[in-house]
Amino acid sequence: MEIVQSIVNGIMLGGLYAVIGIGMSIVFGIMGLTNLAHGDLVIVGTFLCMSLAAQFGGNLFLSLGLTAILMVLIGFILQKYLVNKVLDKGTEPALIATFSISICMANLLLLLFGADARSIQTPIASTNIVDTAYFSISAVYFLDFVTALVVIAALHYLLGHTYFGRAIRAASGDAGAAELMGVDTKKTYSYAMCLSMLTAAIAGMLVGMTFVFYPSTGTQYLIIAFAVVVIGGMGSLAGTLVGGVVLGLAQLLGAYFFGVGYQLLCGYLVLLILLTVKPEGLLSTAVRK
Amino acid sequence: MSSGMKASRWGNKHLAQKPGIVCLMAMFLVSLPFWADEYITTIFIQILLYMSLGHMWNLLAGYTGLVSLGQQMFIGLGGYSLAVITEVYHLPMLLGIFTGGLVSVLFAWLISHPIFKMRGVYFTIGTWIAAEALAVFFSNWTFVRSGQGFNITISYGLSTGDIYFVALAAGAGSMALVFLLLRSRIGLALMAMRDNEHAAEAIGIDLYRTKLMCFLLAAFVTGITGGAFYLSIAYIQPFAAFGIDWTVAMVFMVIIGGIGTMEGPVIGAAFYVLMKQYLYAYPGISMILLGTTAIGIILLAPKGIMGMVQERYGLDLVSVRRWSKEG
Amino acid sequence: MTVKENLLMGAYLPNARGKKVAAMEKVFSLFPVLKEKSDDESTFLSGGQRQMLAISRALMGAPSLLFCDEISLGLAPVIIKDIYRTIGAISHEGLTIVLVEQDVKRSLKYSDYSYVMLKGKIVLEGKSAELSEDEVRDAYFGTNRYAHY
Repeated sequence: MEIVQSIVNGIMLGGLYAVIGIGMSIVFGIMGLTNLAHGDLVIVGTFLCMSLAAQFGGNLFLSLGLTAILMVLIGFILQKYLVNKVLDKGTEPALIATFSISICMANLLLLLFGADARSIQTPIASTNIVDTAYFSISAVYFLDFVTALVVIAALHYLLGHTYFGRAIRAASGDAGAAELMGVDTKKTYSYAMCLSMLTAAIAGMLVGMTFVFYPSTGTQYLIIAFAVVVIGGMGSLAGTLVGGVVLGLAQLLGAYFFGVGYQLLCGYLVLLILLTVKPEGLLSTAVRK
Repeated sequence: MSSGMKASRWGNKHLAQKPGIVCLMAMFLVSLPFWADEYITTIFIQILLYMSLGHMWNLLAGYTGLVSLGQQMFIGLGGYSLAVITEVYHLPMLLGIFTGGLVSVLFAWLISHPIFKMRGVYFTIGTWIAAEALAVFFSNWTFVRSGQGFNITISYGLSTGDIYFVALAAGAGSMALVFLLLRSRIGLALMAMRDNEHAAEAIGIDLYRTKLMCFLLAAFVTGITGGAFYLSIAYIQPFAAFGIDWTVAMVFMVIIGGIGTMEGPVIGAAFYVLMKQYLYAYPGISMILLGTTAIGIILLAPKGIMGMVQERYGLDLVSVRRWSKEG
Repeated sequence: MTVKENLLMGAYLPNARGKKVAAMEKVFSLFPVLKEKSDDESTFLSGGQRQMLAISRALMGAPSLLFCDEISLGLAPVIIKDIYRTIGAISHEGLTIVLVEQDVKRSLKYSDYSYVMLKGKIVLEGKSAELSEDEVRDAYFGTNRYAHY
């Protein structure tokens, strides 16, 4: 039953998509900024992970750790010297500024690494965790999904039950009142960006392990991130998982029914339909305009 | 709201009031292929065509408030129309280009209803996704030879001069169209909408129709320009035709040249083409340079080069300014 | 954010965080309705309840000085009475409160010392018990009869 395999894969991939999208959701939810560079930043993470893994003889944990630190640093710099300044100028300059960053990143990667296809080698690459007559679950896909659950659970705890998280939510809900309570809102935005970059680093590693990638893959993942956030609803953590799974299913079922060439297209169509019909998303909590 | 108009040190410099200068420029441009060499003519072809794209993106983003990152869909449609009309049906080239414009308008009209339901950033990304969807679709469509693409053989029989005149028509035509549009009632409506949408609606301006008209016009001209581009490139393939690089060019040209001004796309196009020529050997660097320049402009001089010139010297050659500070 | 989360944010700064449990108990005893609604989203509260929440949130910060700016604005008289009684109770416990208010009667009733400001200058001041409403009104509207610098 091929279709069962497609469904299973769709759900597992949904996890990967969720991790990709959650960074964008954080930044949008907290700062109202649509970071068009998010996809390319994830791929930057992928390339960093790949290069560091080569340096450290394939030790993925070490390279993930270092990648995370570097990405957080990049995010902090971007936030301080670019995003904070551009946020006051309006939504259009912010969009174009992040768009420019996206282009710069993609071309920088192209310059440094060339246009060849890359991937991150992992020992679990071709093993299956579940192998039945009806379907199998590849280890990498399974890792993607489990990581999504862990990341979302961690964020849920962080944002819901710690002062760090409450400060972030307060700053996004009412910056003035938050400042009265002693919250440094500009710093808080930086923390939100750093959090976003942390998830982007994780997403980057997963992407590299799951798929082949190029310097230009960023665009694809930006659309995936955006789709996940829109389908699930801006500002909803659980929504990102739902969004990811819906997107994953749409893609894989599309491939099953219409052919592999149409995989991306089906995802795009589902997203376009949702944008038209219910842009706040399936599970939206906050409505941010 | 237009920026504070300083009393211009240069006097009243509206080009429309100086027919002599306009005539000279027209003569210069029309005669160019006869005295300039192949290389210079090609540069001008590029500048004219990119300028046309810039004018249209500027019309949408700078005057109508629609930031579209999906205009490449019309370039692709225009290019493919030319390819299909000349390669499959063996009809004349000009018909192919014109069909490109038509197909683009039709497609724009088709998606207009859903796409205008998306507001703000949703619209922006929606247009981008529509373009990506077209790319995937065309790469699977056997009628247009899927991922292989077309060689546009009709171009082989054309001289650079021939292509130049097509480009000139597209470039000058687009500029004239935007100019006339902005001076018309629609232009007034656009200005009113930018200042205060609700008030504009209250006095009877139909927001949807006005935005739609600009979107359709931009689609038409972008489609024709796309056809003209592919006439000069002579080979079309789906991912390049519907690629984001076109939009990158449009955005950077207009931002650097000066969004919301008529001269902006002209300056931006010249800047873009010349820079790509100089950095021809280092393709990645030109993009990075463009990107950083654009970021710099947004942070330091958000009104672009022309905007700065207008503020400093009160020099306003052709336009009515628009760039909302609040966004 | 919920009522409870708002209150927790009130105790954000380090010197208040240690005392937050006791502070929340105190605040719930002053405004019992907040305890009832402690898990509700603050956006679901009525105007008066929001004001109570705002005051409570400020109290969570273990302040030495409380600034109240036009807290009766837009509220129903019944609610205003309630809130002011609580303000009075808090001030009697020793917290210094600076109250900016346009309701002359109430501000004189609940305060110990009053200032009237006109165009940035203090035109009348004195112990609230010794000022009359008419004096205050005249000073505020600038009729100069009782004004002294």
